[in-house]
Amino acid sequence: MTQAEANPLLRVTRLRTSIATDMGRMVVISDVSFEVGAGRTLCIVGESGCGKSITSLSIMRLLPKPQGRIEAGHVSFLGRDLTALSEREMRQVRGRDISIVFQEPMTALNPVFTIGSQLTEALLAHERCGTAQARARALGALREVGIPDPESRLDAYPHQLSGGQRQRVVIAMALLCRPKLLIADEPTTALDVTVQAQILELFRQLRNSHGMGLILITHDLGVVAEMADDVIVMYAGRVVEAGPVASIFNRPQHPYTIGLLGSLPKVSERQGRLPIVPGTVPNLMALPEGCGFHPRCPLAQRRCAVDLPLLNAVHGDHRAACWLAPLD
Amino acid sequence: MTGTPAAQQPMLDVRELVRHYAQAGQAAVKAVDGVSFQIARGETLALVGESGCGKSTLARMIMALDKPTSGSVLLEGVDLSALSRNRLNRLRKKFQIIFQDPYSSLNPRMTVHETLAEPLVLHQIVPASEIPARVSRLLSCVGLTSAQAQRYPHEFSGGQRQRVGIARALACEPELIVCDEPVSALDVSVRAQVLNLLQDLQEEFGFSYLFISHDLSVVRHISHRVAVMYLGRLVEIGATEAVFMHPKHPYTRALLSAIPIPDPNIPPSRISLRGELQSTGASLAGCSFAPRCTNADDRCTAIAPVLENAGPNSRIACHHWRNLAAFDRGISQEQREPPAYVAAILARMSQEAAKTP
Repeated sequence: MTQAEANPLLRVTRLRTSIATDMGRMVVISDVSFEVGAGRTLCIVGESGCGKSITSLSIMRLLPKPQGRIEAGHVSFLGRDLTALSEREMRQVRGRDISIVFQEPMTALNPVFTIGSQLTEALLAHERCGTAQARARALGALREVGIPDPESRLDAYPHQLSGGQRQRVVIAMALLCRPKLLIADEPTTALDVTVQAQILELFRQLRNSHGMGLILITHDLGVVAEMADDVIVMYAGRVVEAGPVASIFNRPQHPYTIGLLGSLPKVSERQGRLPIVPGTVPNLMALPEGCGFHPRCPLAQRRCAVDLPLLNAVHGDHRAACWLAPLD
Repeated sequence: MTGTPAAQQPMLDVRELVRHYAQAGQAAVKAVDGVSFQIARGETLALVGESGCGKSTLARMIMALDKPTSGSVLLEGVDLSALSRNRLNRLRKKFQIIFQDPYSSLNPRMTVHETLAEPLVLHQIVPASEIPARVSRLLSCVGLTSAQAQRYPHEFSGGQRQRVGIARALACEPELIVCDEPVSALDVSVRAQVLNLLQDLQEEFGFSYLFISHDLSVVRHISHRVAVMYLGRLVEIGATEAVFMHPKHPYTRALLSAIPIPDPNIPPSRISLRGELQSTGASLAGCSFAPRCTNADDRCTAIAPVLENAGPNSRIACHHWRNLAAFDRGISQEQREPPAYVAAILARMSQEAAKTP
């Protein structure tokens, strides 16, 4: 753990990103900080609109243009500040050093090119390798993600594949150049559980054999429990809780995390009614004063509606942004 | 009066249902290949299986949106395929469907009021004068307010849209609701709200659910019985508790072992399958799961096993289910109670949530 702190693969420091909307500029993430070490997995957890995806797009500098803008903070990858790179330098980083996998396999592939040509494109762009060699590696990558009959699939077009197969192609593409860091945004949400298990196993292998760092964005807390070394929980654009996975699951320290974990149906038992978090996720354009969660929090006190709590250490590496923490 | 009381008649009776799709120059795709099951009144049967196993084709035939190649679907003893188009359409109000995607299953140009009034008019559920009152009642049933009736779908969140979809299904006063992945597009906390709603509604109105899902933790939560489907056939059907705690079919076991458990204290232990999911086009003489099964022998590849009784309320299609070792993935460890402070906070949240729908 300490060796990761000394020289992490990725260090995000106080990142703030905004998006221009019809109603003015909206800050979508604030004060987001975390680290990912080589061979480590960080899971980012939270519900739609909490800023998970914007965080990954900010790291990759793939924010929608011209609306998206990094307002403050740094993204340091192996000591290089990615926010300061030119677009040309950034293109060298993407796909080779850092890869990203998005949730929708329908839009990530170009419908007019074969799977094979899209797979080899990254290899030909980033590495000195001939077409035959690129094709062989593409074939190996398809095999790795468990695509049936990979030879014939290389010459197929995206529409000829099922959704699950397309998603596996996208994952194969992201892993082709053996990136040092993989950002996977809900990579297995559209997949069946047995295929998901296969993909997670592949991620684990690459993490162990190549020391690949992994940022896994997911709402599936089962995947988090299985894959994560560290977890950050985001709510309304901020990190509300961060820490080692066991500590987060065993002794959660933010009421939102408690609600999120509690509202999960369990495969091991049949509950009468599921506990639920009251209220709904706030609109980022009209965030409440103080703590963003206070209108939904059963523990909220007067202070919570006035002052914004910052992320503070609760136990060891476990941090929470709650005035009442520690809760136990 | 003795004999065959209507009370014992199943709500839904699916008999030897088959749907083959012809392909030019190739063997027909056997999307559904001889499926039989029943759903009792007020019961929830979950249908689980992976993409391409035939769940959706089965659902379409039950909804009479697709004609079976052979076999029949009986709703309260009435064979849907024997009905004229006219009589079928009149019967349609009795079976409704809730779709997966609350974004594409509502007409964006219709207000919620129009969406809910349409089936009321079409099926003459209430006289025209009572429609506004009925729409308000439907909305309150699903936790929305009548003030929201004049809004359009885009003005709602995903969870609220799914509530509108549920209200639309309720409008016809159905007796069977097919839920096709109804919560898989929703966030965790919203999902819990919608699952609770579906359960409350069943308690209140007593209808039956056919609940199609690939999310096994949701299935565990909501269903009374579970049917597991693989390549067009049922491989196991039984009480939810039995299927989850003591799965007998090798495929059910592999499927259950693939679910990540939301507890970092339990290391994953997977049953790995051989090979790949074949397509339903491949015609196999024996068990369709045999090519992937580690227990398969010559008998499995030669003779297809039929669903046989394997205990009260449990049927398995496997030659070897008696001889398989007990299944244990340490799931029971997960039943640890949460720490007291967590339980207390959850209880307060649920109290708050109950106050403000």
